Amino acid sequence: MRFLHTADWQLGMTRHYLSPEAQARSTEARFEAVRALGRVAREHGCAFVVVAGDVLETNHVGRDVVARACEALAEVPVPVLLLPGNHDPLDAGSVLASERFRRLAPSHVQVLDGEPVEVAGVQVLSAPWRSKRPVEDLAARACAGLVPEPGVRRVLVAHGAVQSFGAAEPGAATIDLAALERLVDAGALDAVCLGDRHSTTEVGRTGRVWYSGAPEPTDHDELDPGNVLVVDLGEPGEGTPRPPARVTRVRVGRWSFRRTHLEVASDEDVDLLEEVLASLPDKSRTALKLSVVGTLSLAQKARVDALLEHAADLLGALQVWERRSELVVRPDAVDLDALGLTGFAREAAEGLAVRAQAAAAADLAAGGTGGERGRPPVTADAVAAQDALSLLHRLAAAG
Amino acid sequence: MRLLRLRLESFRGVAMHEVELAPTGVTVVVGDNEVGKTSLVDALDLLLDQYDSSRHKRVRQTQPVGQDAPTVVEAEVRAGRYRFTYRKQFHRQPSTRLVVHEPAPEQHAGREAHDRALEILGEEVDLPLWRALRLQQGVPLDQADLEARTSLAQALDATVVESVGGEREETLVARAEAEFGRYWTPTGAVRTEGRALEADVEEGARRVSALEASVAEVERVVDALGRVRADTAAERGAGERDVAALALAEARVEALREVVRDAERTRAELAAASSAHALAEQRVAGRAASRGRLVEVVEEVAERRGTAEVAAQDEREAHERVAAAGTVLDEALEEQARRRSLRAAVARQEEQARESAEVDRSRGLVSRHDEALAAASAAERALAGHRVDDAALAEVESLHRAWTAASARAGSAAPVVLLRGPGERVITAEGEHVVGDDPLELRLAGGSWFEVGGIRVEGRPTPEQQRAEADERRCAAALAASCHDLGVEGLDGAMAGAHARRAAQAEQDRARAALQQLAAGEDLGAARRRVTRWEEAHPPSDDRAAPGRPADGSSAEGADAGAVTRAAAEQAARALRGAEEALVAAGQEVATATSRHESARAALDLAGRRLVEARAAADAAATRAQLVEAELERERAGAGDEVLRARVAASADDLAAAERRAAGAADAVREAGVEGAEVEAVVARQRRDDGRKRLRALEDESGALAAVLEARGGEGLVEELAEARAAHERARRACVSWERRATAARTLRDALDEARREAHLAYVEPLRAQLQRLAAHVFGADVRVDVGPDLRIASRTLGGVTVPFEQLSSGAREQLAVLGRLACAMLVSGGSGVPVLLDDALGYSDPQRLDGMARALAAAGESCQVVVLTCVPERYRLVAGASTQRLRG
Repeated sequence: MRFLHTADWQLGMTRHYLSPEAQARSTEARFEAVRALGRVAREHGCAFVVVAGDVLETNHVGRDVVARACEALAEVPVPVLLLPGNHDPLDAGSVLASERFRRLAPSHVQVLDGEPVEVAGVQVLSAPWRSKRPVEDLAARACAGLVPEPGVRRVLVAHGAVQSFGAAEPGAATIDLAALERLVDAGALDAVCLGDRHSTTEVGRTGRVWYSGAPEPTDHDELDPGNVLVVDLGEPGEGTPRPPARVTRVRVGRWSFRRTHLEVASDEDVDLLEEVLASLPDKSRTALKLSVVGTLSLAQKARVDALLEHAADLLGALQVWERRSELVVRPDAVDLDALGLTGFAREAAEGLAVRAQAAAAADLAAGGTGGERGRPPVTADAVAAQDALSLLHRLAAAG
Repeated sequence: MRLLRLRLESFRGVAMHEVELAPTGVTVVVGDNEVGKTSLVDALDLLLDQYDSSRHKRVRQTQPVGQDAPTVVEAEVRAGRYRFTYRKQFHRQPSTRLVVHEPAPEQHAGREAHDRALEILGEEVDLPLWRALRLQQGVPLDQADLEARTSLAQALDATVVESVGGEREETLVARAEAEFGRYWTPTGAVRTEGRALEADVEEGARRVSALEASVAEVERVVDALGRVRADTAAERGAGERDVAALALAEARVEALREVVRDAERTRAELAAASSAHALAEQRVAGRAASRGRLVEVVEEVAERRGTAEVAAQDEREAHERVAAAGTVLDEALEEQARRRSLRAAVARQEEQARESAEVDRSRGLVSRHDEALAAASAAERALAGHRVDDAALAEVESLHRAWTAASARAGSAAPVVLLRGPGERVITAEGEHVVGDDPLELRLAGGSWFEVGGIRVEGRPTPEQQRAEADERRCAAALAASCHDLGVEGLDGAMAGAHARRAAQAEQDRARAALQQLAAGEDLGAARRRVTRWEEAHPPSDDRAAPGRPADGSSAEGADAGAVTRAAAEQAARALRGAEEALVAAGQEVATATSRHESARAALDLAGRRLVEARAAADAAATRAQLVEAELERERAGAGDEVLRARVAASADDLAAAERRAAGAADAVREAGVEGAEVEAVVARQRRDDGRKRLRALEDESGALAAVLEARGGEGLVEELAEARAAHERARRACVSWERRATAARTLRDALDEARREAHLAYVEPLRAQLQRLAAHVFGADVRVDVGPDLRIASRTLGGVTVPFEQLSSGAREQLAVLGRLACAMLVSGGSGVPVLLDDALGYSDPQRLDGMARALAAAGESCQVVVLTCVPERYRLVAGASTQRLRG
């Protein structure tokens, strides 16, 4: 018996660094992911789909998002069980519990509200979020007093952070992993389908507790997004002890969110940057966060600017990570000669170069290390001087 | 560049000119006006600029008029390392030849020559500078436009570290300026685009905040709704509990109802017994009252009867008193009548006496009046006798005067004759006169004559005399007539008559006044009538009424008689008063008696009434007594007194029993706690109702909040917020980017401007210094010259006074213009230097300045080639080391 485990669709999500046109593409891709996982479910013979929380980005998504979500759900051939998560809890404003959703949602879509649901011979327990700030371990409550019953297979669908998993200090709502593992060991639970982490992650030692991750990436720091899990529990009564669960990772995501850090100090480095940018696959579905550090001549800087401009045109989104980027422009004699500047113009250029370096020079003179993490200290005047130099380069080089 | 030799043939009006110029130093080319000095310069220009085949106006103008000869211009020029001869022939058989002598021989012809020449010159010479350093005749006196002349700049640069910069740099500056202009206004303010971007950012931030607030609002509504729903559920549970409690209480109340009913029944019974007992007691009381009433009534009858007896007695006594008062009244009336008749008689007497006195008085009055009348008539008659009144007298007097005047006139008109002759006789109309010693004066009035000595002398009156005498006669006649009319003799008579009349008049006035006096205040008519009446009533023989009066009515006796009658009248009046007083007293007596009689009668009436009343009351009381008695009898027939008393006792017993039963039932109720149960039921009902109200309120609230959510939810606020944030971020980045670019543009422009200005300032200095050195020759050692960054002379300071160039005198400007060019040439002297060409300059300069200019020229000539064209060689006489060339026409 197989079923498909997914989570964190966050339909209706937007990112500010996406241009409106790129945002539209991203939004469509997320709906497409729903349809894709429906196809995956059919291909892999899944009996049903569980969505472990955060189906919708918020409880205030527009009507169109709800309508499109229901439309996409209609294309999933098997029953879909939706668990309300922290983004779409079952509070008074809940969309999943609203009249409109009930009307629009296809009949094979069901919202898990904490009552055990029987589907395809499996008992599905659920720990839905009923508010944005639960005060207890919802998963533990859902499994309270659970005892193993032979022939009964249970799956728990929950959402939230698991204890001992990167959280700074456990809150009241943190899911107690040890307790769940005990239940799994005892045979009271056959699988725990978690949501909230956007990267596909196996939890604990049992091999039956997983975060499926989001089917499309949502941020640059995710390790392994874009997947759904096909969980195979085997056939009932296939001997005792029961067979291990086989969990298959299937990629459905089209977009990718990347982070790249480069140091540039020479023409070769700029060439490398060019190559890196050019070699990105599927640029229109890539959101790149770039940090560039280094000292360049005017010509090199001009080249880098041009490369970035070109890349921004092609990529879904290009962000230069301001906080981690620093490009210092230091015009050299070659630059100035190349420009054919003499006399006062050259003087002016050299003066600007000095100003551009002023902060770093002062820092060095004072015994500093020339900045932290390769970032020289800057002042507004130095930045202005650098920009003026780039402009000078452009105006002078125009022939 | 150095001009070595220049040759013109058939150039305009010039047949042939050839000049050799010193390559360094001052060459003064002297020639008269129109000899063709300027042509030299023009020819050089043509040589360099125009093709030999050019039909340009400038070229055509050089063609000598009326000659068919070609125009030739030939120049030997040193330019840098080149020395060449360049020859062009215009108009006829145009040709161009270039022969390069140094560094390497070359020969070119035609267009090739032209191009090569320009090439060489372009390589070695700053041609624009060459044009700038000219000071040409006819061209406005102006400073050389030296700015950014490359050779000058480079020359200046030689002394300065920085380079002024050439075309490239200037273009850069222009582009930087243009870039600056994209972001900033000329005054240095941010362009609207930048401000618009800032505004966008602000707008975006505002939108984000607004949307965040809206989303937060929705969140609050969600929370509120959750709370309300929870409250509603709790309220519903509580409501159910309330309903159950109410049911319980009501059941209890129902169970206790039986006890309550029982208590009610005993209370009703008690009420009935109580009222029955009260009724019986009432009856007994009523019987006793009846008996009492009967006794009262009988007593009353007796009392009333007694009262009636007393009233009868009173009435009888009143009767007697009335009769006595009547008697007294009658007596008083009789007395009064008697006194009345007495008074009437006395009154008659008095009246008569009074009348008599009055008549006497009247009589006296009448007689006096009559006397006065008679006197008045006598006076009147007397007056009538005198006719001469004042007017008449006046007339007589005037007539007399007139007569007198007329006679005087006549007399004077008449001649007067003096008769002398004493003792002679004269006979006049009057008679005979003997003239005495004195002459006799005779007036010969009209008609008068005298005779003397047998001569009768008559006067023949003149007309005038006749007139005067006529006048006199007339006047005399008038006077006489008037006197006669008046009955008097002459004036004296008139006067006497008037006097008499006046006296008579006075007499009459007196008489009339007396009459008036008498008549005043008296009605004489009435007095006469009274007298008449009296005399009719009392003929004189009758003495009784009055003491009488004498028949002649003399007033003397009448007065006495009047006194007597007056005394009698007074006496009578006194008697009358006495009679009246007596009458009045009698009247008072009558009144008193009458009132007493009246009051007696009134008392009688009162007593009568009282008697009647008393009797009636007694009768009524008797009747009432009978009725009461009858009533009592009847009652007793119904139920005797004893029976009633028995009934009361019985009902009292019943009452006591009912009270005991009722008390017992109430105790039972209290013990059963019915009251408490009822209170509880009421409270439970109240609670239930309150709970229902609260539930309804919560349901309403819940419905409202849900509606809000429904509406808001569909708005897609969160998406809008995300989009607003994205837009804000984009706007912010765009703004930052714009600001950075704007700052870059400004930084670059400012840096370039700064560098340029410094460089310019740096290289202006050599030129300025050179110029100042030259100017010292002309203006003195303490002169100071200021040059602006555009290399133009800005001002000259002499003796501490700074004057801007434009405000200097023509002479000073001319001098400085020349000096500026010389200074420039001296700086640029060298490979790319050019000659300074002065065509007829320094016309405004005085000899002293010329002296200085000569020294300056000489100084320049040490390193440059200076060519001076002039027709006044004296001007440049003082230029040391100058060579002179003459042009002959």
